[in-house]
Amino acid sequence: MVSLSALLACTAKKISKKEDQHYVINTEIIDSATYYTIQPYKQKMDLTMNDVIGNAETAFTKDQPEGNLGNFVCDCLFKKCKSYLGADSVLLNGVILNNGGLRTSVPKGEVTVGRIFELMPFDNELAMVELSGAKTKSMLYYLAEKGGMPVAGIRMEIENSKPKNVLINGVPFDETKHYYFISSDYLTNGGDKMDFFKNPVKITFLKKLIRDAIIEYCKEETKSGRNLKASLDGRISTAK
Amino acid sequence: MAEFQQQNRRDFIRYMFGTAAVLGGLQAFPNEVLTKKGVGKLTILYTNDMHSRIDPFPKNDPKFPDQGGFARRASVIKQIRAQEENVLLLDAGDVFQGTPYFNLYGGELEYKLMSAMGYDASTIGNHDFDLGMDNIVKQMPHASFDILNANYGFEDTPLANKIKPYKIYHKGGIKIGVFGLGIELAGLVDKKLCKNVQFFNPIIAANDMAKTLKQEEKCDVVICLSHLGYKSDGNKPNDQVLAEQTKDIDLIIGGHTHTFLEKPTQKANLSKKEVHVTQVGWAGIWLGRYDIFFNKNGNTKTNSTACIKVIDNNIC
Repeated sequence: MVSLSALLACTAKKISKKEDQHYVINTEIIDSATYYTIQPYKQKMDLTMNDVIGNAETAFTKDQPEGNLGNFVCDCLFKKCKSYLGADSVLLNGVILNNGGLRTSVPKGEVTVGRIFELMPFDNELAMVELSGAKTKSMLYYLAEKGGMPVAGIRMEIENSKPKNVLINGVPFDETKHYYFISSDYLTNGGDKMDFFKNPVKITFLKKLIRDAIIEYCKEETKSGRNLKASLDGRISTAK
Repeated sequence: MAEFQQQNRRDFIRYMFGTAAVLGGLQAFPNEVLTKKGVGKLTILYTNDMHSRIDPFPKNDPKFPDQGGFARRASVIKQIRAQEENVLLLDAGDVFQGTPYFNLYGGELEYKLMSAMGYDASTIGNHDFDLGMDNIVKQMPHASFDILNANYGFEDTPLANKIKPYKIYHKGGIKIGVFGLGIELAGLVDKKLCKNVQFFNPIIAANDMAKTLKQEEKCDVVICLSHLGYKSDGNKPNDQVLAEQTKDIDLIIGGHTHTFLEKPTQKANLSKKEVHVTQVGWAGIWLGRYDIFFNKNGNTKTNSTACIKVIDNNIC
């Protein structure tokens, strides 16, 4: 065996040792060439992205079964879509998004346009989907199985990964009814395996980017002299 | 603005977490290092899921205050290159999407800066498709590194003949084979963005690549850049499954799940040999480093990694 391994060593080098580590990139020391390459891009970007459009009362972060960031975004879209939908707004029951689609948190204090781009970098559009009662039930099971997703208009408990005590707009869920939910075209097109969105009764595209709706909402709140607020209200909770 | 060259090394060491062992070690044995610099050693530096995070997170960020940043990473890489002869710099995909730099410039700056840092290779992550394949083609002239993938078929797409399955790198007499693997795009990337991209089983592709690189090309080291994820839903392949169901791979540098692995995960492969799976979170918050030492007398021994801490981030 010794001669065999010696023979192999002639053809390929033997690995004798491996070491691993990582560097946390938090040093103040920067590479000047990289810095100067970035500058023209950054300066042009900052012209539009540094605009302050709101003031967050607290930091907004993602969490499960609910997070104040998910609540903020869904509540904001619920309000904005009601105004976009006009007469159809009476139909609207709620909003459902995915945690994976909310790409960063929002710090307490000034909120810039750039931060909203970081929160929602995708050019995803708002879509309103009419779901049968059975498809809505699948949606509720999906929410429970995933341990909670960002929603508005829905209250539910999760027990053993199944939905319990579901209220939609304050009324117990009724499988014989149709429900109308706002989501993103990414999700209604099959993203994140939200199969309950397949073959809906009806789908309406609002021709509006989710990001633009959030930016509009922030600007309106600021114009009305209000801070941006988000809280946990137990809309999705784990059954005790 | 503080520039690296103007700082003394003590300052540099003080600023860096997790580096004291290596940099301090160099100070402790300066003669040994000077005489043995780079001999029989390969230093692999790596990132994954940098997601267009050119600037550090702001100081008031709730999760990663004042962390990351390309200019900082570039200074760390320069420092390591000054100390090590044989450096390979790799990335496991999702270079694009996440800050307005991508919305405004389509990834041009990301590729330019990676080229300047001397990246050798990257692979394609699901978010690299976010402005379509035409955009990747448009940005490629800014990339001096290779973009590798072995399990997507690009025949009827704008990327036809532009993506190599693998590449062999030579660093100081060490021969390194690197190949890339991508995640299944259905349900993850909008169909209009990845139209006509064929997906092939990553495990089969990996075994094929590893056999080519280790058995036929006789590479000393075989590295997989994987965007499959550290964990996966259902029975979809992930990096841990990949490690167990393949042979002839030495190191899997992963991405997609934004998993911060304090230590690489050790797995036994199909031939009961050790494979390491690693991943350094996302957004360039960490730079990973993996050193391989070679011994000509054929004596193989590896250090053990007992403590594994996994911090998961649920965006991919």
